Amino acid sequence: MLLLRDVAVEVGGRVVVRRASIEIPRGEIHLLLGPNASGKTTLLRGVVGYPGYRIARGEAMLGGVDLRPLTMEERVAAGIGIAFQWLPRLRGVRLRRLLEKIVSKRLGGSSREVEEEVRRIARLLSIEHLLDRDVGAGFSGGEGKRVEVATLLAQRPRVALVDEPDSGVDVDSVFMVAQGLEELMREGTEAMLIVTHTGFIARSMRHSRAYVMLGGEIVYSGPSGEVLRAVLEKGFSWLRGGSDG
Amino acid sequence: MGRRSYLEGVKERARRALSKPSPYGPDVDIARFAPASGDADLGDPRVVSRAAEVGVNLRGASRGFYYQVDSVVKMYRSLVPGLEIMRIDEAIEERWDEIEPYLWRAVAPDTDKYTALVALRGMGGYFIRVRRGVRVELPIQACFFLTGGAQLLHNIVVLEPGAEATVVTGCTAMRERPGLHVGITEVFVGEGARVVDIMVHSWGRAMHVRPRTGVVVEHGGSYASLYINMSRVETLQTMPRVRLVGEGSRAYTASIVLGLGSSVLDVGSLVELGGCGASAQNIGRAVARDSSSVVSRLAVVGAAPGTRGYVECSGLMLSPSASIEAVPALRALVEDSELFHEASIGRLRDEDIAYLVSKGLSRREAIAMLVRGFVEIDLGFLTPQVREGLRRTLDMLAERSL
Repeated sequence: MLLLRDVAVEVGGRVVVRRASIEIPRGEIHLLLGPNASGKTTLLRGVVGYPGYRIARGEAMLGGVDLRPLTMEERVAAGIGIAFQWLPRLRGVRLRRLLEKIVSKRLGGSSREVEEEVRRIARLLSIEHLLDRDVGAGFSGGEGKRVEVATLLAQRPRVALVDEPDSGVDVDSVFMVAQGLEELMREGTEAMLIVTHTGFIARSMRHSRAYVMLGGEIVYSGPSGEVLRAVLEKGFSWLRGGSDG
Repeated sequence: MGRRSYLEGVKERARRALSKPSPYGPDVDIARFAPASGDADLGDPRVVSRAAEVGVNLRGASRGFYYQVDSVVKMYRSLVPGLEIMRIDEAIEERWDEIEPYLWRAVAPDTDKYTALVALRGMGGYFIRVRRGVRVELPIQACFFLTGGAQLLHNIVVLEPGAEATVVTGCTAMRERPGLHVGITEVFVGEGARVVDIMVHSWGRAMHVRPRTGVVVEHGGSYASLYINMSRVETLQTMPRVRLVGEGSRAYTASIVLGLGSSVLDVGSLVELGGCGASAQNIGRAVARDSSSVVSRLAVVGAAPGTRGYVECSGLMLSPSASIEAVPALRALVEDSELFHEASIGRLRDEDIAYLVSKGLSRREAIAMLVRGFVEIDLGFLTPQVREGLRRTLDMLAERSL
C-alpha cells in the first residue's frame, strides 16, 4: 500500500533523512522507532509533502501512485493523512467547524449527517468538550493527540501517518488514541505508520512490523514484537553502526 | 422651542459647516452628487439579492421594517404593539414634541460637511421608537439601497426605559455607479433598556460612504453594536460616538471591515464612559487585501469613577501592497477608571495554512477558514436567528477576502 524505497528527505536544502525503506501492505500497522532527532518526523513530513520538506532521492509510492511530483494538497487528495505531534493554535477556528469541514469533504452529505458524524467521532475520543473551542486553544497534551486522531477519523485517509501519539500524555489518553487508531483501520484506512520513541502505544494496539531509525537512516527492522523487545531491553545505542536486521 | 426656529437653528449651523472637512478619511467633493430618482423596484431580483447580502430579507416576513431606495421611502410598517416606525419627515411634521428631544441631539449638525449636507438636504430615514417596557422579539429590518448619486438620510432610534430590540440595517448599492451615502443615526437607550444595533454595508467600487452615528445610553442601559463592511468601496469613513452617561450603563461595539481593491477605509468608534460604573468593550477587526488601505481607530475615554474599558484592535494583512494602521486610544479623566488595550497586525501563518491543507482542505479553503477565524467575534448576545444570519454574512466576507 505504501512503499518507500531508499528515500532521502531534505529540509531547507539539508539532507535530514538519508535512507529509509518501508513497505506497509494493506491492513497492516507498522511502527517507526528511534530516539529524538533521528529523522522520524522529517520522514513523515517528507512523505506527506509538507512545505519545506522534499523527497530528494528514492521511490515513494501510494498504491502504485508516485508521490514525488505531487504537492501536499495532491498527496492528501490521493489518500495520505497525517496526525501531527503538536497542533497549532488556530484563532477563531472552532474545532467543530474544522471537523465538519473535513467530514463534509468526505461525505458530501447533508449538514445533519455531517453534524452527526462529528458528534460520533468526538464521543469516541472524548473530545466533545473541545468542539466549541478554538483548535489548539489550551488543549492538554492528551487532548491534542486525541484531536489529531479525530481529524484522521474525519478524513479517513487510505494511509495514516501518526507522529508520536504517545509522547507526553497520560495512560488513559494513550488508550483512547490507540482505540481511535484501531477504529480508523476498521473504518477503511488501509495502512498505518506510527512514529514512537517510547513504544508505549504499542502495548495497546496490534502491529506487525517495526523499524528503527538512527541518524537519518533506518538501521534495523523486523517483526514488531521482536524489535520492541530488543529496544526496550537494550535501548537504541547498541544499534549505532549496525545494519538492517 | 418651536419647530420652525429649532430647524432653522440647525440649518444655520449646518450652513456654516458645509465646507468643514472631517478630521479623518479622504475629503470628498460633495457637490458632485445629486439625489437619484429612486426608480429601482423592491421586487427587482438584483435589489432582493443585494439586500440579502447585507442581511435583509425583502421577501421574508418581518413584523417591523423600513425600506428606502435612493431618497424614496418605499415601504415601512410595524405590526408590533409598542413599536413605532415612521418616516423621519413624517415624525417631524406630526410628532414634533416627541421627536424634538432627540433630533440632532446625539450628532451635531455642524460636526462636518457631511452632517451639514444631511441637515440641509437630507431626504428620508426612519424614526423608530420602542415604548417603555416593550420587548420586540424579532429583529426590526431596515434597508437602504442606492442606485447612484447622493443618498442623505437621518435615522433616529429611541428605546424607552426597559425596552428591548434588535435593529438590523443593511445598506447596499448598484455595483458600478458613483455615489455618496451619508447616514446620520442617533440612538437613545433609556434607563434599563437594551438595544442591539447591527449594520452591514456592501457598496460599489465608486461609492463614498460617511455614516455618522451618535449614541446616548442612560442608567443601566445597554448598547451593543456590530458594523460590517464586506465589499469594495472607494472611500469609507466612520467614527460612531457612544456616550454612556448613565450609572452602570454598558456598551459593546465591534467593527469588522474588509478592504478590497484600492478601497480607503477609516473605521472606528469612540466610547465615553461618563456614568459611574459604566463599562465598554470596543473591538475592531480589519482585513486588507489588494492595495486597500485600512485605518482602525478605537478609543475609550474613562470620565467617571468605577469605569472599565477595553479596546482590542486587530489587523490581518492579505497582500504586500495593502496597509493597515491600528490606532487604539485610552484616555482617563478620573483616577478610578481602568482602561486596557490590545493591538496587533499580522499575516496568516504559513504553518497554519499547511496544517489545514494536510487535513484535506484546499489552500483556498484553508485561507478562507483562517480569515473566517480571524473575524470571529462573540455573537452570544444575539438572538439565534440574527446570530445565524450574521454567521452567513461573515462566511461570505471570508470568501470575498480570497
